Amino acid sequence: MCNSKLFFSLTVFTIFLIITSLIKNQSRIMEKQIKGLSSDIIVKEKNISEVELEFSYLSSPNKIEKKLKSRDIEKFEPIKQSNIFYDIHDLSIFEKKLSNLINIDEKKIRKK
Amino acid sequence: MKKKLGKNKITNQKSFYFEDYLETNKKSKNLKKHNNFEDRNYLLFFFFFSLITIFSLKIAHISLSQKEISSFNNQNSKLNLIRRDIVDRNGVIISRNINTYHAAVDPKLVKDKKNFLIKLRLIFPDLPNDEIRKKLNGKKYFRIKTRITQNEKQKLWSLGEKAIKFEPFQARLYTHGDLFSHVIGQVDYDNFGISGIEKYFDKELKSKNLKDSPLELALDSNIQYIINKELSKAIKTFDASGAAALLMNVNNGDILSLVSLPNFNINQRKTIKDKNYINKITKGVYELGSIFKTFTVALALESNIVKKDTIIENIPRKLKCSIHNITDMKEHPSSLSTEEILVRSSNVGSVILAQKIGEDTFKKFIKNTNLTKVPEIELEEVGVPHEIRWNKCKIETVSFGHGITTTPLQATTLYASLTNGGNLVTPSLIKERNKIETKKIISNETSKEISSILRQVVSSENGTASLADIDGYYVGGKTGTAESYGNNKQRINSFISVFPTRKPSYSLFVMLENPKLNKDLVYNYRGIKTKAPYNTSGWNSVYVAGKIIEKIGPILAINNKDFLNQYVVEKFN
Repeated sequence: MCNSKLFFSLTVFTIFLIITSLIKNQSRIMEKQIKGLSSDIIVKEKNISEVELEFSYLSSPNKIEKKLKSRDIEKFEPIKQSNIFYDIHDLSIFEKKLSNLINIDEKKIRKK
Repeated sequence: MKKKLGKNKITNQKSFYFEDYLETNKKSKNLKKHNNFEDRNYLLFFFFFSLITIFSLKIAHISLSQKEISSFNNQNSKLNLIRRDIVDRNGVIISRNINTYHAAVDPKLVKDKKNFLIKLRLIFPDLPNDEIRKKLNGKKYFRIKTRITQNEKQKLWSLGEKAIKFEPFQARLYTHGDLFSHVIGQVDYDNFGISGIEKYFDKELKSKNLKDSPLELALDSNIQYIINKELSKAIKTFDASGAAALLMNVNNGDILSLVSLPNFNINQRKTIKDKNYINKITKGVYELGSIFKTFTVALALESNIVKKDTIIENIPRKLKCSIHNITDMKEHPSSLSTEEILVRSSNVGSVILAQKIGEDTFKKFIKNTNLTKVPEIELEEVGVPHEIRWNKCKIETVSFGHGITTTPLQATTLYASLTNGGNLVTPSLIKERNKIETKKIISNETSKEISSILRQVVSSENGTASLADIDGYYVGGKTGTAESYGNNKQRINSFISVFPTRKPSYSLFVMLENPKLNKDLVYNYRGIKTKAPYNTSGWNSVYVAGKIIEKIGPILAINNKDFLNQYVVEKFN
């Protein structure tokens, strides 16, 4: 009677001991991973912050214009109003007119 | 159990009392032992169960509460920046804090001072050697260099000197240098805003609750750059002492660009005492001249005194009012319509209209439109317009913009309000902060009429602003040539434009301070190549405004259906 109880309690003790150590170990591993990841995040955040700043500085209009000048693209002018189409319909009308004009020109050349 | 008791009674009973006592003792001992054993079991069970529960809860907590953990890490993070970012309307970073260091030395920890000095000199040849030697011989901790770069820190680190200490420090970096100098302002070494937006929003920029969201301005970096560039060019072309420009959304008061030249690099701390470096748009108080004629005409139309095409007959060449002789710069026909008075910029015509309006209505209009009050804007650098003394002839001079001062910001805001349907807008540097106020200053009809008259100023033959007639943008506006208030030597040539006049969206103010006549510049004036005959706004400020509108127009997507740019295609030429 006593032995069975002792055996039972020892088994419970051992099982719990193993489970506790397993869980404790698992949580410690997780904590370590989290610490590692968070320090990685900090480094990456710092890098991102610096890269964003650099991007903002290098892509500022002043810098872009300097780069264009260094590549001999002196005139960087925006598109004029007359060169802008507001939708695909406008573009197709223009293309039709253009192709008609080309056809007329070709016909004239053929006649000559 | 009963049998056992019986046996005991027969064989071992010596004293009933004693035996009984012994039995009960044994029983209770056994029971106690048994109970103790169970108790221990329960205790152990409880102990381990509690441990397992605690650890399980901890694992669940770690896995579920990611946010808390990350925020915990953020608190320890080196990126825990004191001030929030400032970005433009497109999210482009304008200012951000960075972690940097000051390099300091603890002289007590320096073993070989001579060697240390040589090493320092190799890294920083510009450092004052004698001064550092003196400090090294002392015992006080001192800084050798503030705001060192990562490279410099690495070099100092590589010396392997215990005496060198790195003090962490946060510096504010402005990626666009001088582009936003008058708007953004600066912070001191302790990260407190001392001017501009940095000062006005100091608390908000330091708020921990808003840490992750940047302060979004209404300004546009690209437009700001284009305007800044065109104004810088204009200063050279017209040999002006300064220039300023303001671009505002007429419907919500958003300021897309605010440029005041000369400007300065806000990454450097310098004391500037020259008054020419003030923010001319918000702090500069000027007598803006003919720009005020638009207000006179708007008020006359709104009061139903005249209509757009009402002819004012027998307008004299000269009008005497008290000690003032009011004349026109050019000769105009003796009969002009209300529209023509503004188109031709007739001083005498404006005076006649103002006299018809009456002083009380004029006073009320100026009061309602906040023209002479301190301007409302998210900056502390604001000018205070001079108080008007309504003495004799005041209404007459005010009608064409003399004897009344205001800031360019207020004048542009009023143009925006007059052309957006008559709703008084409040200018703002913060993106979409304001909505149209319910306060109406003029009716929709008057607003439409004013827009169409302003268009005539630019498009008609008699108009004074033809150089701003840029194809496709339906520019309207009014010029103003005046002297700086209280300083007759200073000339202020300005132009306020509104575009597109069919459905006004933007208002652009351009001002040149003390421009000179450029005799070499050839203008394309209504298809004819010509040189400037006068040093008036029409030949410099308007010209500059035209150049600006031509360049910023495609960015603003004027006339684009629903302001969507997705189908914009370049012509195949």
